Amino acid sequence: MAFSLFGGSDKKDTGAVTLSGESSNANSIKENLQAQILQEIALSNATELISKISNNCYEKCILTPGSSLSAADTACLDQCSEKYIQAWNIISRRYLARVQSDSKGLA
Amino acid sequence: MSQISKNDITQLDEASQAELLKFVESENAKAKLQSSIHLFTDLCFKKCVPSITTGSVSQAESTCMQLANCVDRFLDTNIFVVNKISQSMQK
Repeated sequence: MAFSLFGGSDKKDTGAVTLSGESSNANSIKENLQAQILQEIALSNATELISKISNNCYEKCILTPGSSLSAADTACLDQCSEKYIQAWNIISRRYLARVQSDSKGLA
Repeated sequence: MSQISKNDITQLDEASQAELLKFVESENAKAKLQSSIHLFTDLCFKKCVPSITTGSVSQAESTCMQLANCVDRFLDTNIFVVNKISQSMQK
């Protein structure tokens, strides 16, 4: 799945942080912190998406819960998840464009 | 993932600290937008996709979801409710 959607960082760890306090270390501390923040945001986004998809698709696909997921169930869940992610992309693109144009109008 | 201690942060020079603050603020703003997108997608998926027949979004569903419809109407509704409540609170 494209977790890069959520701005997840693939920055490599810039190395062990020492306590010497040199200015080159300040940079590495700062970069580490930024990477950590980005990772946590990406994780929280992914968690939210998983939760929404699970709820919506359970509602739409599993109408009468059986003792296990049937082939029809999994096919529906497959389609539903794909559809939800497409919807997310559509709405995300339009909403961000709208926010940008709104803020330009106010500037 | 290396752990950042409080000690490390206080050792940062002022310029780095200011930069980090700006970074956190900007990521915060972005996160709020993401959160709105999650809300709208949830709402609009429920409204615009009655049942799962295919794995892709049809043209009609896409039009329903497009901002011109689903999200805009939600924002209109929100504004309407805010006005109504503030009116009744003024009485």
